[in-house]
Amino acid sequence: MKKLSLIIFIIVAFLGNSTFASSVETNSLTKGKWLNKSDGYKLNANTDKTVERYKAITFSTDQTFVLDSVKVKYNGEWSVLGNLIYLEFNDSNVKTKIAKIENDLLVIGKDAYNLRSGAFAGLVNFYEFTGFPNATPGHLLMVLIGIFFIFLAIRYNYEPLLLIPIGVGIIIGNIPFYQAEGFNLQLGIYEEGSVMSYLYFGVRQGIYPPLIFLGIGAMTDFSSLISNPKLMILGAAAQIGIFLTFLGALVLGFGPAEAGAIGIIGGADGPTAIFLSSKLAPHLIGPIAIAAYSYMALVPIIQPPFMRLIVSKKERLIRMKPPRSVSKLEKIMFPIVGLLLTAYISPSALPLLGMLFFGNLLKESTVTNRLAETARNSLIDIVTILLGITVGASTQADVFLTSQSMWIFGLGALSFVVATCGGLLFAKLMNVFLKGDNKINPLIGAAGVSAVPDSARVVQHEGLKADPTNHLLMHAMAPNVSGVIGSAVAAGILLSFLM
Amino acid sequence: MISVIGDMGINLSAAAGSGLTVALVGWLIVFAALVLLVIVFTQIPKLIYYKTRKELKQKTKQAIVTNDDLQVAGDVSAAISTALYLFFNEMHDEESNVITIKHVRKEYSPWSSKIYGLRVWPRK
Repeated sequence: MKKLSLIIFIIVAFLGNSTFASSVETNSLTKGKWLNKSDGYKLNANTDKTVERYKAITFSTDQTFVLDSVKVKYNGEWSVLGNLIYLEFNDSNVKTKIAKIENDLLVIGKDAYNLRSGAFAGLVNFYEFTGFPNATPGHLLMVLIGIFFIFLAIRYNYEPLLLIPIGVGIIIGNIPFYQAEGFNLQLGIYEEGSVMSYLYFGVRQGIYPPLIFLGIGAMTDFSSLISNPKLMILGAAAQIGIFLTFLGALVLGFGPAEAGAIGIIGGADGPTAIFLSSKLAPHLIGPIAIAAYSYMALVPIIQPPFMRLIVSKKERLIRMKPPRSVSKLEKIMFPIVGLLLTAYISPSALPLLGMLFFGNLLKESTVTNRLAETARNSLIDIVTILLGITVGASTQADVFLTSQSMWIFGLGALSFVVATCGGLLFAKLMNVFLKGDNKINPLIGAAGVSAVPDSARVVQHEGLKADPTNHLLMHAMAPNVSGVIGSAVAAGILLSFLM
Repeated sequence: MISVIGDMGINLSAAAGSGLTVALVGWLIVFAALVLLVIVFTQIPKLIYYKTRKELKQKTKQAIVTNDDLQVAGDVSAAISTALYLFFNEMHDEESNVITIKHVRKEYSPWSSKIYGLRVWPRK
């Protein structure tokens, strides 16, 4: 009896499917495009965030169909059996799918497709590729930050040569575009094969920083440092910012290599920070570079309160002995001896130190004026443009806005403060041992953080505030340029310890 | 001691071991490198001016020749440089002071002829 009822049920079900139920009208299938919008598409391999994306199926009268999804385009043949549509894919890896029409919707598994005209589907496709549907609050926030950088550069003249390229780079990097895992439009800086990605190669591989150092070497006059070598120690003292920030990052749970890359922000030297982070923590280059350059631009705001706090009014009035004139032989010997000594102690910093001293020898030798001119003008300008724009563009919101970046910004600010205080306190300590007109104005200790020439300019400004006739700029340049050497040596040491 | 802020942990023990060593040794090496440069560049002028110092000692018969005797202060050097720059900038070629007038003879050309100008009344 049970068998009989089962047979009757199967016959009824079969007849119901083939005879009584309405069969699919082929005209309704082929008169437009079937669109589906569903969630579950990952933006890229590095994130778990998913977004909604469109899929479209086009049925042709010659019994073929095209399923156009985010990643690939599938072709196949369709056939109707009763109210079911069989989709056989040309790709043998894709199983045959069965679709049916319910309430004017084409249902394939869990996905429901709406019938739309070809023109509407085209518009939807165009809209999906514009910035509007892909924008997130993160993108908008970063664009505002980019505009703020440009504002600071134009309104207050804070490092305009850096902040304008970086600001524009931030805007470029945060123009939202269509993204999906396995789908490469070759637009974004993190997409392989894009123009921005090729330009960013120089940052990722640490090519730009040594070229910047070549230009810095060719434009720096080390004579104030050679005339009063003891001021060089202030450049070493201020590097305490690097090592304390390194410890701070370790405490916060960053790995040793990441902590080293974050610590170098305290060196207040953008190229050095990029060079070290490209070797130790390439995934953190963006936040580290932005932190380093932003705080360098904000040196006139960060340093003065600590200078006034640590250095007394009486000490700020100290007049320093004018530097002696330095012979040409000494100036030529400095890059050669300096390179030999520092590179032997820290060979890992050779790309930076080598280029810095090479650039300086081009300048001081006076027989390679053409090369020195190119290094300090055209070359450094070109590299600055490329570096600024790509570092800015690397702040793509979905990669950049993480809690790690926020911690890096916090640590970066702290490292600048520690470095400034370290230089000032050491200058005060030096004064304990110096006598008579050899005493130094402790304000120049703040210039030991490098950030050439901004921190020296801040020292001059603060010195003039205390005594309008006391010019400290030349004296401050000595710890300032020794800070550059010191931070490059520190980068080499961290590299050899942590890599 | 571990506590968590956001998704980052605060771990004081992480900095205590090798981290502290790296920081301390690293800073000392930076110091050592720059102190070495200080020593070298404090001695280099002494070597460069050794001969001059000796000669000056013999000439002036002074017991001690100070650095001030050997070197010029930067501001003095800047003043001399400025004076020399201004002097050479204001110099120009010597002139003979002979003023001559050159007689230029124009060759006749009907293109500039006043006889054939448009203001001449045509003869009938």
